[in-house]
Amino acid sequence: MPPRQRVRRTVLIVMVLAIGLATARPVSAYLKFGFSVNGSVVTVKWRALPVRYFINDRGGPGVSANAFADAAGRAFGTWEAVPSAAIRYQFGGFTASMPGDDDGRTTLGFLAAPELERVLASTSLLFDEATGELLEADIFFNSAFAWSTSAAGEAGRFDVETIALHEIGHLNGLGHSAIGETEISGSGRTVLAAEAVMFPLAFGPGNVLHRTLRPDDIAGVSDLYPDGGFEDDHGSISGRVTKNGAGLFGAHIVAFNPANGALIGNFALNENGNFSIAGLTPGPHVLRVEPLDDADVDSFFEVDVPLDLNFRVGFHTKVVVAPRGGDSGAVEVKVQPK
Amino acid sequence: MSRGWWLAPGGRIALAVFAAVAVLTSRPAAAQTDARYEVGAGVRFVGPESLGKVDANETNAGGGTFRLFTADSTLDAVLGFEARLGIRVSPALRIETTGSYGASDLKIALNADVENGAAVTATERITQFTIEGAAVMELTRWHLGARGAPFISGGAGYVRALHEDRILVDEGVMWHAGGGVNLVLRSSPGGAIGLRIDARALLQSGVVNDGFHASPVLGASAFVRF
Repeated sequence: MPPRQRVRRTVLIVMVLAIGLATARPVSAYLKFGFSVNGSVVTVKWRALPVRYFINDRGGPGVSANAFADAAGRAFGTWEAVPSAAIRYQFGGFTASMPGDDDGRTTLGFLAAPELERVLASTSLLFDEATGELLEADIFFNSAFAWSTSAAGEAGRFDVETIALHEIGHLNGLGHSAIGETEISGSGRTVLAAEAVMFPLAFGPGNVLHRTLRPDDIAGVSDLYPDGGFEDDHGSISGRVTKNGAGLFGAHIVAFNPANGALIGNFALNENGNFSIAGLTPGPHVLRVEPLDDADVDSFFEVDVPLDLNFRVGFHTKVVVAPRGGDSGAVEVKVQPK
Repeated sequence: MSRGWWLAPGGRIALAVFAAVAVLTSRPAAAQTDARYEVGAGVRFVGPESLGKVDANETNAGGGTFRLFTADSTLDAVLGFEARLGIRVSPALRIETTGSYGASDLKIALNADVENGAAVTATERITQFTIEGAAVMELTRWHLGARGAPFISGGAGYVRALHEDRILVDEGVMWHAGGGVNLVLRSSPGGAIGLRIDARALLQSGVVNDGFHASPVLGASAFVRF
């Protein structure tokens, strides 16, 4: 059996205070990490479950290793509790290994990275370049920040469980969601609101609101690891975003379900403006398109060409139906220049 | 959005009240024929049905809502066709089953976008089929001239809605109560022909969303009794 070709993608998937950094390779489909092999999309995901993880035994500033393990365990449990997803984890114990060690162990722990002054935490992924199978995922929490595992959160300290929930989303193979609003504040951004744990920017210290997954997160993990008839019970909407007749790469599209208020999004991921939003509850949806302007573009994906942000926020003029277990068929959403 | 259509507790109450009214107001109808069966066909107008306003909200840093935009959904009025079959089970009481067909537009008005997106009303065509059962009681104490007989009715039904491009079917339930007038144009001991005009209040759920929504219904049809 030939050895598998392994490539480590040090994926700086980070929760940051004011600026987003992410260097995932080409993202090819709905909220998921992926890459192209001979023109086919390969999704990065775990093939062997449960995912066995370890906790570094040193703890961090103000957080013991045990308290850290408990908080991380709750975050893993939150992802596991999604009824429509089959992802499972297993705590392997404490380890002296550090996150980032290329040792085949998925490890979570603290590292001092004061030079990353806006990076709260980061996940790096090791995956098989041919199959996309995830082999290892390490998460480091930046000990340059103050942390807490308090049940109600703690003023001035970031919540381990909240940030772990986001990073474990990356460990699952999810990229960043753009369902959130920010405003420029000094040299960075302030988060006004978000409706996805996978939004790249964190609320401030002491905030524990993102210990709960939102529809966008649930759709993402369920699409990656479908369980319980998820694929038969949900649908997708696909099509393209155009401006002046040409495809619009990088536009952010959100499907809104007026029956339950759910917001689930994705991006136009190629120069034809093609997009696909999966994991939708069957029924009518409204499509809203906006420029990717609430975080740095490279928070979401790497691009070799500048994205066109010069268009107005707009709605598709047709109600689009997500069928049960199928796709809407091609929808063309036209946007207008600013 | 599929659901069964068994009687809900509220429905049992509604039917019980209807039955009580029927017993109190009925008496043998000397003017009626001996015809046991009735078939009818005609048109029905279903008024616009508000499906509710749901905001697209995100969560702000304080745990409150941050409104992205508003969405106000309406199922437009429907002008459709209906056909029915009735069986007389007492001098004044008839049990009927009705099928109907109609099409309307789902309209979702999108407003107040936080990033100044232009207001839009997104639309979709929806085709509806219904099958209903009803009890119809002629109020024989109050005739309208020699030919008119007022009645009250109540019933329940199943609604099946087909979305545009036929890629999704919604199923739901409906309840209705109302009344109207049967005008006998011509009668004999064995049968009659006439017109029916009626108005109903309709409660319907399962189309687009699972909440119950009210709308008025007006119907006009011709019937034959035999």
